[in-house]
Amino acid sequence: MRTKSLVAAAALLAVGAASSMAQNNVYSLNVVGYVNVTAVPGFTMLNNPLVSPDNSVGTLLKDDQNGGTVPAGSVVYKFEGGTYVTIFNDEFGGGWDAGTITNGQGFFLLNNTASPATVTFVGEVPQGAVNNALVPGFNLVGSKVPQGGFLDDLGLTSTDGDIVYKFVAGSYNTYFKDEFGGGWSSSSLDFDPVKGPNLDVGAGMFYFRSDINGAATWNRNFTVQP
Amino acid sequence: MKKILLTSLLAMVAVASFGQGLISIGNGITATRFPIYGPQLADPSVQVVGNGPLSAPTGSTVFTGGLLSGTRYAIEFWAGPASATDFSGLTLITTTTFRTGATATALPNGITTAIGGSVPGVGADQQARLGVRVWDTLSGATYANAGVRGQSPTLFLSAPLGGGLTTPPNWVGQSFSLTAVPEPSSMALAGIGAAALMIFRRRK
Repeated sequence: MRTKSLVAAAALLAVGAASSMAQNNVYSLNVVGYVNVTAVPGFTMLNNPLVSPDNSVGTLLKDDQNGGTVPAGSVVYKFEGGTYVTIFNDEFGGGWDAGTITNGQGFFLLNNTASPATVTFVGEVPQGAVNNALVPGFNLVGSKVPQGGFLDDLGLTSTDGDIVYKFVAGSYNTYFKDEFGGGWSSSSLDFDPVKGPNLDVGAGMFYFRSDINGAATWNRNFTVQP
Repeated sequence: MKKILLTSLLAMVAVASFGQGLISIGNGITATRFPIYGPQLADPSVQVVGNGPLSAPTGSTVFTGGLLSGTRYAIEFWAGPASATDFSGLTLITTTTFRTGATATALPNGITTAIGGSVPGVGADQQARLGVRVWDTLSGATYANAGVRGQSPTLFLSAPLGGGLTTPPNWVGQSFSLTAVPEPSSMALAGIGAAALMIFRRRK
């Protein structure tokens, strides 16, 4: 998956609510941006890195018959509670079935055409303390902020025995966090032995936590520099 | 109806897109650990099979031979279609050596580093038959001619392989000990010794 662009510079300064104008000036800095990712023919593992008003699939992934770029007839597969939840897009212009993709939630997008498609996420960049819950077992997740890098740099504190699966070009690349303190290993090249696999902006991954390690939280404190 | 047709079409596309099923290769992966041990001290010719305290899931089998360690020992991972009944129906996936730990009796000795790989001829979401072969390279360059060796006594069936929307399962198996095959020369010496002992006792 190629990431074409990161966050647009469109920053909306919502200055001053009426109540805050009385004595102290309180400024709210909301950064609105977009992220373009490429959905190859077949399955692409993605992640919603922005916050949209209602997180509905119809808002996030506008199809090409309704003013967007996602091919009509596409399918979203979420992974919730250990099973896939399927959301269909009508190939005749009827739009998406009801469903949501929350910020930081990973999903598969099935592009049912022979050509790559651009997926544009539009929304607000999460700032401040954000977190993503990781349960024992498989988690289909991604970074909650529009930033790429090694997992450690993205704030994910991994535990020995954890495993990451990235879906690349139709198959999985697997990354193992050694159970005995040996760091990360993989037959793929896009990882750092200490910091873990690299994750692109808008990319999703399966993050496996063993039952021994238990639940965890992917904490991040993120601020867009003005 | 339209969604059923679409789903069927997508399923066909998915199957066509992913030729070989994926699996995580190794005998020391989280939750599926089966360390390999040296020959039993009491009787090196007997193979002990089962899960011990260091296996995952754990078991009560007692291994006295110590965990294999380092590049001296080679391990082959074999896999094939679920219909395979012995190693002749499997394909060699990869050969590697064992990790080295602080002591000879504790993990990570006895296990390998995990890697990702595929099983030729077995597609995504299909199950594969699995087996491993291990030998002491000081006793022979290959498994076939090694004097100290061992293999999975029974073949194991994997979970559905990865590809499509399925993540690769971990390799499954069971701990076992190597056996020391007596060399013809040493057996001959033992025979001569026994004969000499019989003669000596008769003369007495």
